[in-house]
Amino acid sequence: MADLFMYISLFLIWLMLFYHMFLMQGGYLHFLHYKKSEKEWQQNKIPFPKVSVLIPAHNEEVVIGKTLDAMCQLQYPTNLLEIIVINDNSNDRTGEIVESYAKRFPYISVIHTKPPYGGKGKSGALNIGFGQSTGEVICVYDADNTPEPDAIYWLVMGLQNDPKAGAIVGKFRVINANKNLLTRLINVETITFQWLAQAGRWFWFKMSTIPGTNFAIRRSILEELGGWDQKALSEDTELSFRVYNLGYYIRFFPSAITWEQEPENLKVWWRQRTRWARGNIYVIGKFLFQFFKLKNKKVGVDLLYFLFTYLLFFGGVLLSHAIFIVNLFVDLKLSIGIVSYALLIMGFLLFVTEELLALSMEKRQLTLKNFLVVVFMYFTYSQMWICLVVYASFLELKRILFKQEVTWYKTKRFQQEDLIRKDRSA
Amino acid sequence: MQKRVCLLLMVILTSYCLLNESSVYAKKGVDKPSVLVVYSSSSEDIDEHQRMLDMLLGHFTDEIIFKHSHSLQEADLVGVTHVFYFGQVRERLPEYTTRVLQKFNGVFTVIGHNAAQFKRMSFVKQAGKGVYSKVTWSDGDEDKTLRVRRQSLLQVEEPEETSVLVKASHGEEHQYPLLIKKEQNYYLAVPSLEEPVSLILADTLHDIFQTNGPYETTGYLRLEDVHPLADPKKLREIADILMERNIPYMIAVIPVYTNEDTKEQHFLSDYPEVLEALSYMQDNGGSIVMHGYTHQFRDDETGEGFEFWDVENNMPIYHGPTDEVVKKTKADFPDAKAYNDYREDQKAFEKDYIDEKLTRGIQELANYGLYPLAFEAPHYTMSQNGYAVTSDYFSTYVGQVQLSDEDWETMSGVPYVTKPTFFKGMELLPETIGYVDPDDPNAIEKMIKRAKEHLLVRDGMVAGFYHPFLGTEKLMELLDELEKLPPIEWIDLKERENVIQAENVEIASEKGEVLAAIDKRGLVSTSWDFPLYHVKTFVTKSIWGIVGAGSLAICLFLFYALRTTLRYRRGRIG
Repeated sequence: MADLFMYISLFLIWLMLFYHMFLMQGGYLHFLHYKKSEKEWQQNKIPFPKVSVLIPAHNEEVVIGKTLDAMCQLQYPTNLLEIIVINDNSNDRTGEIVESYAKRFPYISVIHTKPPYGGKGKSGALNIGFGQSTGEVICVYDADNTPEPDAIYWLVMGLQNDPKAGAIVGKFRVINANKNLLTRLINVETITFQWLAQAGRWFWFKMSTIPGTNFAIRRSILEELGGWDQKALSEDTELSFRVYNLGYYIRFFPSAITWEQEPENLKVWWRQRTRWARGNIYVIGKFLFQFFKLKNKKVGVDLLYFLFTYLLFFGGVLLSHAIFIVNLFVDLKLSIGIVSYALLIMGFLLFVTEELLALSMEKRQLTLKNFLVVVFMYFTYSQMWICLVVYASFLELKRILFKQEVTWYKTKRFQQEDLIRKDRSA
Repeated sequence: MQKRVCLLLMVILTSYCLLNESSVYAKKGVDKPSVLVVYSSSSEDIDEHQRMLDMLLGHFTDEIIFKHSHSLQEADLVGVTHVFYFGQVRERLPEYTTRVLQKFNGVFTVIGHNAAQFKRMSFVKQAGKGVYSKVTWSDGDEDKTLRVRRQSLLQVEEPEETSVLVKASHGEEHQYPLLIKKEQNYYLAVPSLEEPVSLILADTLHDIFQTNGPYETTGYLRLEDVHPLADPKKLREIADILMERNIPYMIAVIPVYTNEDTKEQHFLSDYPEVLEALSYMQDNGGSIVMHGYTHQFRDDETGEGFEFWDVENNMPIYHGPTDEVVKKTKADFPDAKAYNDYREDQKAFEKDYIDEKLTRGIQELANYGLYPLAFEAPHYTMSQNGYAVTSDYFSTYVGQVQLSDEDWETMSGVPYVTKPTFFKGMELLPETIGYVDPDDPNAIEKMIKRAKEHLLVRDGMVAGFYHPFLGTEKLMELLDELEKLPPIEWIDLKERENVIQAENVEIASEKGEVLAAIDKRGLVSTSWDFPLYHVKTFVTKSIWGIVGAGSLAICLFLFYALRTTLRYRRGRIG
């Protein structure tokens, strides 16, 4: 019996790892090719559309000023640009700060919301902003983001040159990567996520997931979809699924870069990631049961991926951990033998090399320090994720069983010191 | 593919049934002899003595009828070419019997007592008992001498007009005829056929049956007691040595090993390396012989226990391992019918037991891709009923033969390949020279001595066994010694016609080819263990595949990372 569980967990884990290898290969190929698209698009000379940038902000006094500074630096015709900050039920100085920018820059405007209409979370704020916007293309940034000047330009170029793309996603980088060990770990994680999962899926399936920030979507699509799902905890994943379902794809284009802040302590990290995990579990539930009603079955690729990640893969890892620990105390008479060690080592090395390859694609990220971070990550950060998924699954299960209301946790922001060196050259 | 195999199997099966012949006559295209054996013994039932004669005669024909001296009918002689009278005990023969036999004008051989009661044997004049320790005879080409432990014989006078085929002696002054002949009449001056008499009779039967040769010394080497806990490395080493020397061999496989202390059962499926070694051996000169299923009946250790004999009660398996055993005799029953019913029940129990073990064993081995071509009972112990049941499954039996249902130690071999009637169609490839006993420093020497004795017999067989756990050293020593003997034709079971049948499995071999038809769906319905084994094998293999693919990906990704880093450094990107 233990043998059976052992093999089940093994196959679940390795199925996932093989999928990751496959995605990594695709990510690398995309890395080699995407610069060519830049050149092609620039030669096409398609007229610029009007762009609305939506920035939902709830108590963002610490970061909103910097974000708007970056917005002012955007290289995009200002007559075709509107920046709408949705000051969602803030009780700090956010509104004040945004107002001061709105006075100085005509293309920046602000919407203040109060309950019962406001304060319902990010989706709600975005829907309100969308209602007020006029742009043909809607871009979304989180309040802690500092996009590079050409970020909007590349996002719009992508949509204009690719009519099949319903949305386009840029790359985000960690602004506070060098702050502490946690942010270093997150930095490695985000780089790998984008080159492996985003670029990889884009390359093979013409799919990627809207990450909640630094993306552009056509107004027509948002209108057709009726905006964001306010019940969804991870509104971005949910939106991605609906865009696919309309038959569009979501392009990943790494030239559009934004810098964002990541949690600097574990508590914040835990709460933010719990929200993501719960959100993704919600999406699995929502679309899995409607799968046969979906128009575009391609969503299945991602649905399966999420299903695998959150249920089967983590289930497999948990099972394998459990077997490992029980076997330390009781001889389970596992017949697998020496090959299990080979698999353990292989799994670890695969993790390390994939992270290293992803890091190598960002300038000056493949360093000895980061190498050590990656090794450390396998035994700590990755294991933390397992606990987190278990916790999130538990919460979601509780929510469904007791029909609880969803409350949106807003990620805590941190004051950035200017000393932190940003690497924008990549 | 499946169909083709089935068709081929059918052809072999049919031809096997039609030409189910191993006698020397059949091979040489001569009409085979038809033998009548008339015997005088204390009980009327056929016992180990007649069975010994059966084994000796089975080399020449499978048409052998046994009749007690008191129940002979004239009709029994119809078509008979050779009559053997076996005077095991002294008795006054019924006048009817002697008269009927007197009318017979074919080859007539008397063994032991009561010869003088046949008129045609009047040349035999008995004169008490003698003792001998040396036997000499000639087969026409070669003078043969055999030194034996002191034995007794029936001393006969040497009349003039007879020829002495075999002489026995003890020192210079004691010389006796052992086998004499006058015209078509032969007399063997011993009432028992144990060795060395069996060797001498085996050879001289060629004269009695007037075979013409050519004769061939065959032999085999059997690797004994190979069970799931065998050392696969040693098996492979041994296989390589035998392959190098071009010696085909047999592997006596026990599919299940039971640990004596923990009672835990180990199946071959849990030991893939042993299975691989066995497959390797099967592909490179080895043939699988099924050596029981568990090699035990009660809780003894595998390889030590008796599987088809209750050794504690010295009786066949007529009861479950934990049942209380009450031995009953005819006297315990009110009438013959009640006793017969009781006996039938016992035999039915034994048959069910053997059926289950053999079926499961054949199915398991075949499921692993190991095709047993013959059977060998653990410790060579099996009842007469057992041999009959086994003959439903196997066409070849390997080893020595238990000749009595009363005592397992009444056991014997014969010096050549034979097909005794009590084997119900099975062919016996007898083991003749013993094994390398690790506790006996002279074991190999003794084996070679036995081999030389068997080389005296026309068509003689040199067959022994070896325990692979002993490693290669002793084996090489044995092989070196065996190779010094006159050339032996090593038996390759695959070259011989064998048919093995169990529920959902049919195996046949001929001319070096082994064909197996396995009804996989049928096997699945028998037990889930069968498909599970294949799933497990696939899983194990695919895990190594995973390791391979993973390693490849690691190398590839490292190469990419290196290339990307170099490109950044050279300023080609970024």
